[in-house]
Amino acid sequence: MRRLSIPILLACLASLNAPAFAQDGAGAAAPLEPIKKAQRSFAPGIYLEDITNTLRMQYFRSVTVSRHDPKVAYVASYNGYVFKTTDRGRTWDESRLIVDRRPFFGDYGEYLYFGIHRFSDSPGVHGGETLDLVAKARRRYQTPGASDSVGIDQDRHRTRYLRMRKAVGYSGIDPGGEGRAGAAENVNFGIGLPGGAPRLQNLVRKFGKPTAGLNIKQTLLMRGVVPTEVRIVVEHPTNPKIVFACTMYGLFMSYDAGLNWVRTFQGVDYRGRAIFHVAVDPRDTTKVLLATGDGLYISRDGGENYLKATQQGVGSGVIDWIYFNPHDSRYVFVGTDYGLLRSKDGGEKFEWIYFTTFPAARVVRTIEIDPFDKKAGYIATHDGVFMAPNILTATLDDWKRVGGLALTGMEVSKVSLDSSQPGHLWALTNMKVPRPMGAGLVDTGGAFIYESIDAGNTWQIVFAGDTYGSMQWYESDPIHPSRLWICWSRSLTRMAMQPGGKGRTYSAATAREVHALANADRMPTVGDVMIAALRFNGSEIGRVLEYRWLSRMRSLVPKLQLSYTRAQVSWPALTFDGIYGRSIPWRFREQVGLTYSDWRVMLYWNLAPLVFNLEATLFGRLERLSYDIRSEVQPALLRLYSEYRRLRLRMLTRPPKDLRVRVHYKLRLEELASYIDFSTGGFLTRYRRGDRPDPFASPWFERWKGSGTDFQLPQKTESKR
Amino acid sequence: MNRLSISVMLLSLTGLATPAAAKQWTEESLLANFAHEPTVQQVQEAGVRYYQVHPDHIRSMRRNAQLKALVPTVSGEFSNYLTSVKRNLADGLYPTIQNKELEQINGDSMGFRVQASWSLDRLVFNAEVLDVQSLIGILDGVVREVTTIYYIRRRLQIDMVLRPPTDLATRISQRIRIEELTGLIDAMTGNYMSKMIGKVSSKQAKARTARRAAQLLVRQRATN
Repeated sequence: MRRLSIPILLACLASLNAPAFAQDGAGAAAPLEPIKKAQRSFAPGIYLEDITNTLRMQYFRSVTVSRHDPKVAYVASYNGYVFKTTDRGRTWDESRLIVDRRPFFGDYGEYLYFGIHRFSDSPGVHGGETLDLVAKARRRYQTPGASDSVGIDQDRHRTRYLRMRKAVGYSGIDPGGEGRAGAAENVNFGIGLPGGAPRLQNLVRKFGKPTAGLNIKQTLLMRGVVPTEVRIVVEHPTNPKIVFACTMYGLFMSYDAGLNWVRTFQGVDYRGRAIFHVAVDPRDTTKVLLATGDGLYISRDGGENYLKATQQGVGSGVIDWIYFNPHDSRYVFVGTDYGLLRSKDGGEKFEWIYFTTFPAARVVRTIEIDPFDKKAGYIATHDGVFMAPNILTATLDDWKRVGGLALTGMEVSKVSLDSSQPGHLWALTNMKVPRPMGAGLVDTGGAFIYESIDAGNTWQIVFAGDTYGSMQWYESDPIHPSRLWICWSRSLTRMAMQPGGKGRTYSAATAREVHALANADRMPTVGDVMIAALRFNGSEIGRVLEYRWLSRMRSLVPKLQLSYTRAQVSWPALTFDGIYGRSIPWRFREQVGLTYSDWRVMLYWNLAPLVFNLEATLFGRLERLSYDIRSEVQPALLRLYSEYRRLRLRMLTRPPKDLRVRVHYKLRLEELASYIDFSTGGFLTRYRRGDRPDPFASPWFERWKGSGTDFQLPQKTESKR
Repeated sequence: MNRLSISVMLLSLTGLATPAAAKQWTEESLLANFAHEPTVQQVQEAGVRYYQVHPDHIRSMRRNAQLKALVPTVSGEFSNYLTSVKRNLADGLYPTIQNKELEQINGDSMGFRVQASWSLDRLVFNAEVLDVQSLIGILDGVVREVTTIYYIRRRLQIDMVLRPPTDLATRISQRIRIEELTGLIDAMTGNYMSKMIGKVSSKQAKARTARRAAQLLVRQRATN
């Protein structure tokens, strides 16, 4: 044992000391020499593993993999959610930060809101916003009809609150969004006196009665257009329990690793509320820098309170990214829409180190320093990638374009370097062009992750998307830094190594089941499910065409009018003849009585709709309604039903060994099946019976026979299961 | 060798301790823990009924919108009018007589009319039927939301069993989260979830009380 243990020990010591990338034949004492060309991310055996199982239907925004625990990752979404995994993406938990907005289909562009705002009890955040509303209140006092009196109270907050109420005409709801907008306060939402009766509302309030009167348009403007994008999740550098979520509705923080969230910064106005990034000084974790749409904010108490920076360059405007030099955090780099600034004293003073007159090229989205030489800096701009050999001392003239024409003109959202292979870079692009109608840019389909293995000289596309959508973010895996977690707007994938060994063999029964599932014998195709769902909810194109035809043909059907009239007339007449004077009381006396009944039937046609009928057109309100419904249901079913099929096949062919994951996947299958079944009127359940119904025969808002409480599995299909 | 074997033994014992706790659960036994709670289909049903967007409800509204064309618009009218006509006739043959004929007519007319009209073209197509479509947004939203929250809650419950948090704060947070999700489901179903769980709990509590009472009786008899 002693003879064996000594060589083993020596071998262990040798492996500990050996450089990671030493060339063959180099001794243990040889200096580290980087290999000339790194290996690509998609090395042989690497594939993209889908990790969207158990995630709700959302548009993803970014992914952040924890540097403290590589099993933990966070995903931000456009719809106000943050998702967290603790098992490398196999299962996910969710937190809703901002209300979820869904189409309502009452009319085009209307929305429903799900969720509640979380309460922010952070002190010192109210001032700016209140000033804004006080200013409004002051203006209002100058207008006729406005109340002159302001409740003078000892409590400043109550004074502000009263002013706010009078300023914007609310009762019981904090228009600044500071309070919890839950059910208790929202009882007054949109109910009561119309917005067009402000004098009546003021009169009622003077009597001390709360009014439910709201200016609906103003309410919806301030409450209804809440931006729900969660842009990125940032982890605290030393404490994994502290997590920041940068959203377009303020900064949220969690103190328990994502279980609960609280909004700790909401800006002065909508610009300041847009949080693009946050960074914590690794040397002094009480210092937190916040990148907003209205300049840089600095906190010196760990993120509880913020003060606006007043230094030149960071006092206003959009701040896109903050980067603390990981090797010397006295150096802070701030990317803005006007260039790049550097601070050498931890954020006290800044200087411009990158600027250009080309508007696209001066938008700096991300910054990164080469982890190997610790000096070369790369920035991602809206006109490609630029590099300075020594970013710590770089000036305006030291920047060079990276990659030549490959990335020129491309909006690069992120550039980063592989910490395990020198010269290995990635860049994320989403090619956008200006919208022809209106402001802003529109995706063109040029959404890629580029990869370079020669320090940016040449680039190749490593990922071009796997479904409809756009490139959002990627992150390097902490365990295998050459591999990526990729966040596409409609999917999440992770580069993983194929399980080794010989190909799997399955039992005959499993092979039959897999074959049946894959070939739509036991599960309908995704197209059939979509048609069944659209036929069920009545928005399928065929049904719409039927309506259009019927709406024209109905002109041929007349309106019927039936009437019955009965009248009784009494007409007594007396005639006096002058010849006879008064000798006779009357000459003639006549009594006329008349009774008549009248039956009338009338048919009339309005033939004008045969020529033109708005309901029959494609631009009518009904068509817009159907379009909205289809646009919502189709992507949801595509995503969820595809996940359902993949998961079923996965459970058949490669069921997870871990009990927890297996149970989660089983529940997920139930979840997906129940939703899809409900949305299609039991179409999936019919397949389970062994039927293969025609999706075009789906009844309108009726469950398929045998798929509800009358569901019974036929005997022969039970034996197959 | 002795040290190595002791280390190996210790390691294996530690390894045995962890999976032993997990091995007591199977999928069926784990999910059976929650058999007393309503199924997702019941919760979906409760949700859409609570919001009055159940497909049956929508279908009946659609049917009513279609069939309303069969119901006429009825109008009724009653009229009564009095007339008075006077006629003075002077005859030139009798110039001395001022009024050859004087006629007085007092008329009294009473009548009623009933009218019914049908828009039969709406039997063929009525745009109001399609207006009902707008409820699909609420239906889809409610079903999806309720289903998602139901299973998030279930997964959390399973995590509490299989991976119970080690520190008190996290345990409390998890419990609060489960309660929050239960509350959300209740809000969307009119308290259906809590009611159903409460019913089962009270039945179980009664059964437990009855069992204890029976045991007590048996003991008393035994002592007597």
